[in-house]
Amino acid sequence: MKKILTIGLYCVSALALVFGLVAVPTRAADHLDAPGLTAPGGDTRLDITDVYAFQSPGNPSNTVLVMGVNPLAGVLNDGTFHSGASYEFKVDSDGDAKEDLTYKVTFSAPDGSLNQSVTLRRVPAKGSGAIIASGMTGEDISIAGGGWVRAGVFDDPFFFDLVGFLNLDFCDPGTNFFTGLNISAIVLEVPSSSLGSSNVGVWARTLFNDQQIDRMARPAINTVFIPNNVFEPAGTEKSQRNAFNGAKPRTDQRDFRGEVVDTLEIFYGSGSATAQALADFLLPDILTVDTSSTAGFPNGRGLADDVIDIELGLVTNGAVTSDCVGNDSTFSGSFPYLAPPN
Amino acid sequence: MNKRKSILLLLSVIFIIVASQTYGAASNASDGLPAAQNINGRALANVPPVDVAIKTFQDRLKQNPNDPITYALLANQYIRQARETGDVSGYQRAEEALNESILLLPKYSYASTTLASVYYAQHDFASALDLAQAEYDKNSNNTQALVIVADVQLALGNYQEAETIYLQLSDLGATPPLLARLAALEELKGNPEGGLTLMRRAAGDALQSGGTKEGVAWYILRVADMNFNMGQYDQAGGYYEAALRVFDNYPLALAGLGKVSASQGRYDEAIAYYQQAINIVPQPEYLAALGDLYTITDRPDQAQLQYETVETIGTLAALNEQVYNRSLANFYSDHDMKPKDALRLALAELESRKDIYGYDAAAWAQYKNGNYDEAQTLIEQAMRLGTRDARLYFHAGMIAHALGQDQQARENLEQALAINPHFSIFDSATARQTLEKLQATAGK
Repeated sequence: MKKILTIGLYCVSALALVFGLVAVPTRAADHLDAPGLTAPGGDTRLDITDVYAFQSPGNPSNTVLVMGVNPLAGVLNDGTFHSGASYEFKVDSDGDAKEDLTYKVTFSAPDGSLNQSVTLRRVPAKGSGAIIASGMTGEDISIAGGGWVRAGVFDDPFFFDLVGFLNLDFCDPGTNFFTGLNISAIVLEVPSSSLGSSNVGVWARTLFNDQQIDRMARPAINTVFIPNNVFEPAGTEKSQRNAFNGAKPRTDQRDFRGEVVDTLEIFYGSGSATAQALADFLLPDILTVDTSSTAGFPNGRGLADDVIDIELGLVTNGAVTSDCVGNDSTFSGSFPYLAPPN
Repeated sequence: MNKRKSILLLLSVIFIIVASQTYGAASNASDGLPAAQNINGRALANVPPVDVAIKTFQDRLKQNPNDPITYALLANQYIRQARETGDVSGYQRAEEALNESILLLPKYSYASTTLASVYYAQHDFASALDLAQAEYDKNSNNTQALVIVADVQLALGNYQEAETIYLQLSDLGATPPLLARLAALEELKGNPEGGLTLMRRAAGDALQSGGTKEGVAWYILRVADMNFNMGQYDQAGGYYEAALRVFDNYPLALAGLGKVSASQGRYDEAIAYYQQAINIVPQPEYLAALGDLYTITDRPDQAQLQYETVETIGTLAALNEQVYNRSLANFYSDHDMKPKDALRLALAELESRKDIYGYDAAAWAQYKNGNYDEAQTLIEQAMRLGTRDARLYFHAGMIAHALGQDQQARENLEQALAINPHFSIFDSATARQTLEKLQATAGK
């Protein structure tokens, strides 16, 4: 139990990272009233909150991919997408951790009503690809070849007792911090046959000025395993979080496996074969999906999957199995599945 | 065949020449900051009004009053409200919310680090330094705490300590926030050109890396400020306008444009800019400048109204006095008002921090009280870094003049006018008249 207490305390410093992006510059009345250290690159529009991949509930031959950005949309940001950036779903169809297909979404600058035009390109491994859909934010846009894409503001589907986690008091009674909060999301539904294989790997990234700003696949990999992470005493290691966000999955094993093993060994013991095996399961950071299966996480990730409970149990060797918070969003059985904004 | 080869060779030489010229042109503007007229910031992020965020977080706290994260988020919005409205009581509300957050979760370093920045904004430098240092000592990845330590050291006049930390942090990444701080240090150290180069790079990088409109506009504004301080009024005006295009109604840019208009004698235009800025955020410096513009355009009643408001804001509450005491001291000295109060405020401020502008305020107040020797000792401390600030040279010149040190007075006043010929609505003219008198005396 003591170990768990310690873990909880160190989680506190991680929150600074979770919410570092929202730091508002403080100004003194003097000459050097510079903003906080958070660089302007800390743009919430490029900050990926979650990635989901699941078989379409209404059409088993389709796969749905979801990328969330803009935490606290409508409160700390206006919920629009960055008109100079691209938002990409990467699909690996042959298991080599390299993309064989990219769905690339770009946006125009918002108009006075915050509407933006949306352009979806399907880009093969080689070549520049073609536009397969275009329309406006807040609308279901049909895709040439089948499927739909929609971008806009939605209820944040993530659920987790963040405060309980910080208070080291998970189940008393358990409150979903994300209730009532919104994100911006891109929801893409395509025929599974167009992904190149029924077993694919998926990740999302944001790109601006040819620089990868963020990437994500499975939930919380960066937060939990990459230094300086929540399980290590604060300040004992130099942060590699930006390096992880800027990296490609294909180099994850080379660059980050040691760090993941280090963290897992806290729970599984030094030299543990399970820790090694888990590290190999977790890296490269790719969400693997059998598109023919309706099973949820870690087969892809469904909107209502309790990924935190599953990951807590996995990472802590069963010491913590739940945050006692379940899904409280009402998802639709049809496209775009996410709940409307609060 | 040979002919074809030589044509190919010729083509490739031409290509190399053209390419190198293009590259050369690009590298001339290698700081990445576009010409002012090409900046619009349309791709930058809009932030919803502060009231929306405050209400959201207050409502969340009604539902769950034991949520330390939401208290910290609310505190950040109070900080933003203080910045946007100039009402420093927002810092007190932020402090209260952060204390609630820390009470609920004592180890919440994000809240503690934010609290250190709130102390800094309130000019409680000792508390800011203690807390930021403690947070950094707990976690060396908390670079935000370390930069607050350095900012406080700078405010206290411990320039070497500040510079060491800024350089240490820029080794991790020379990001715009760090470049901006290093630029300000170069400016202080008497290297405005070097400061401008760094600041332009910071602004170019900030524009390139995105972020909020207000956040990026600040960098462009600082470029304009540096241009203005070097007497480069056209460039300053261009970048103030660019900052205004990036962030609508940006009060700092409106006041900057007021300064530029005033420097070029366009007083009615300057008045309009300052009025717009003051409608958004009634900063004492803007009110004083507006009062001066009314004075110079022969509207003493309106001027008086502005001057009275400066005093009201400066003394509204204990926190206002803490934040604005130096501004108020300088305001009194600049306007030949309440010299004893000016001196009391300036000396009290100098007790708590010994930065060059603290010495300058004290020197100027001593001068206005007729204590010229004390004034000279203090102004020497103010100029110890060799800062190329026209106002410092003007003060040094006037003090030397009062002490009968004519040559020193002449040199300093000449410097003031060379650095920035229109550094102040009234004082630039005083500098010019005094210099003419001194030159006439020397010529006799």
